[in-house]
Amino acid sequence: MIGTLHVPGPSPVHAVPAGYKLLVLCGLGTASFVIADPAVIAAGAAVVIMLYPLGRVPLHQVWVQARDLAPLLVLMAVTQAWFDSPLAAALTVTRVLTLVWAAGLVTATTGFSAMMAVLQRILAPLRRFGVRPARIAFALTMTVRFVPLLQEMIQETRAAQAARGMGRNPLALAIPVTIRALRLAEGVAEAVEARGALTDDDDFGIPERRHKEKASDTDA
Amino acid sequence: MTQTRDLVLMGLFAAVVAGLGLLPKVTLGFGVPITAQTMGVMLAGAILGARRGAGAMAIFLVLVALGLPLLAGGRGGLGVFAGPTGGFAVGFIVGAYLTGLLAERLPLRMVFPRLLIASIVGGIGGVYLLGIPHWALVADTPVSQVLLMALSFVPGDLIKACLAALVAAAIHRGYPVLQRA
Amino acid sequence: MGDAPAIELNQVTVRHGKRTVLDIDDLRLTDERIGLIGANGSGKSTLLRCLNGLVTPSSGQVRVDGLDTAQSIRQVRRKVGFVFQDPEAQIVMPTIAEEMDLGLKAQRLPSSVRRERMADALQRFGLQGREEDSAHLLSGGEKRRLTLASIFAMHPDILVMDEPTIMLDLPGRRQFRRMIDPLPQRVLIATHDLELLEGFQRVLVLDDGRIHADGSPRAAIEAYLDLVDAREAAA
Ligand SMILES: Nc1ncnc2c1ncn2[C@@H]1O[C@H](COP(=O)(O)OP(=O)(O)OP(=O)(O)O)[C@@H](O)[C@H]1O
Ligand SMILES: [Mg+2]
Repeated sequence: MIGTLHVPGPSPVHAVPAGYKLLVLCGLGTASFVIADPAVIAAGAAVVIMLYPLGRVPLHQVWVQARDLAPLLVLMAVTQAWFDSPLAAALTVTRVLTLVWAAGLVTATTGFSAMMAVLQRILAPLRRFGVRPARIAFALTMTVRFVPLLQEMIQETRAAQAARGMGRNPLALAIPVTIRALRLAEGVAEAVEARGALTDDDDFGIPERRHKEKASDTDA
Repeated sequence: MTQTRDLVLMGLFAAVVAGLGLLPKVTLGFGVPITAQTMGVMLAGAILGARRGAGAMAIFLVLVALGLPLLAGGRGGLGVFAGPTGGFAVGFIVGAYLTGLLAERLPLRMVFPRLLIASIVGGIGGVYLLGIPHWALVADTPVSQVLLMALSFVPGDLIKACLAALVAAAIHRGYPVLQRA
Repeated sequence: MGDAPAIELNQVTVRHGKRTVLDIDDLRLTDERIGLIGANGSGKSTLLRCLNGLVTPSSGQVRVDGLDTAQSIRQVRRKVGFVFQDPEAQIVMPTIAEEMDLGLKAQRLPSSVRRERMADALQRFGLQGREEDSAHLLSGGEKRRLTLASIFAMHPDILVMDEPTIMLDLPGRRQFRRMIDPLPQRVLIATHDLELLEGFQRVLVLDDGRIHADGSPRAAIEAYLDLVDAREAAA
């Protein structure tokens, strides 16, 4: 199954509405490009790090995120110091780390469904251009559904091939798995259609509020 | 209006890209990681075509942004887009679209060469088209420098393009249902 | 529920490329429990799919309650509930409650009605109290019951099932039968599980897309066995 990067609350950081957190994040991103002083940005990073314990996110995560980025950061810093100046290198590194930490904090303290709700709100104005938030939410659900299924299919196919004494040819694995997955996708689409779901606009997905209930259309 | 079937297929290929991210990544010489994920980008474009392929990638990225650790190495969340490789991630959309467009439009009868060219130009070029400028911007490095670094990824990318084209060609032969889209 | 509406097929053919996979002159189904048997590839699934508009006939008409399936797909789908052979394909949503809700929301029912229908259907199929459980971690038999419950909750007039007992063990099959028997709907089942057809009013035998025999379960099964014997002797 798919895990999440979410850390359970409650905490003051969890309590801030998802939309505001994303706004602050955008603001921070812009500010970090306007401010060209590594010391100021480093101070910002310190504030972000202090928010981790406040949001009940293990401080270990700060380290993990930095470690994952380390090879790239070193590469960037070296080229930068070489072609530009050590100051520019410091600026880049602090900027990237601060933004990554801040974004990581938002992700850790905001639930999947809260993010999804913000997404739907962002998408709502696009309705005019034919974007259907409910359908997008449906496709997202499909992906979450298919990831473990694909893993299962890969294991089964691999076992079947091993039983026949076939080696580890990636093509001999990828092709049958892809075809099986496509067939399953057809089946799923049929099953959804047979129930008459998703034929129009908003009959799927999260925002109950939007779901207009027509009393006249209840069962006979 | 997008058909239910198309939505399911887009969801499926977003899952394929996520699944490829679970494969162990190989790290080249100076810390350049090679992941199988861009192969999923090529597959999505070559099998689903431009529109649905790009849609699949958009779905994948939305899930990443919402906090699922689906990028290679279990990365996810908004931090990805703030980091230096964020442009490559967003480039998945462009990559799949270009791959699909070329796969649909290239005036080549033979399936494999057509899909191979589509995968190379779209899946490599398209992804880098956003990835490199974004890196240059975040790292404040001249584009030419980044381009030089990116060259080290290319051999791996070419292998992936070959694999993707072989798989997609086999799918088009064995499962022609998709061509009527 | 009253009388379930009739199903009528008129000069129906279904072709894939040059092959005719279904060819039915005239068929009217009004019985409560109808079985459909025949060899692999004989056209059972194709016939069932026609009833829900999943397959559009290449020629002729399929009517449910007088509605042409090609023209009034939405209304027809409200009347005809379809239980698919593979629960993996049919179960779409992550939890039992969401899976149940998918079809109910499509019918635009108010949430109070949806809750009531869901509780009733889950009770009937032995899944009460499990609303929040993952739909994908259920056992094969539980998945089958969930697919039945989710379609039943939509209150169709006709229930169509394609090989519903295929992955059930013997106790599972018996339990399935016990759950089907009291259903108020007309039920149409395509199956290779001949035991399941006991007590049905009418059983059709398909052979190469055509109706080979039509009658009581006993007569139809006999005709089917004879057909298979004749084919084997010829081969
Ligand atoms: N989409 C399709 N394209 C081409 N041929 C098809 C398609 N769908 C079904 N067929 C063909 O139609 C014929 C009838 O298939 P159908 O699935 O109705 O058989 P069935 O009686 O349900 O068989 P089984 O007992 O194996 O489930 C088969 O020969 C099959 O190959
Ligand atoms: Mg069948």
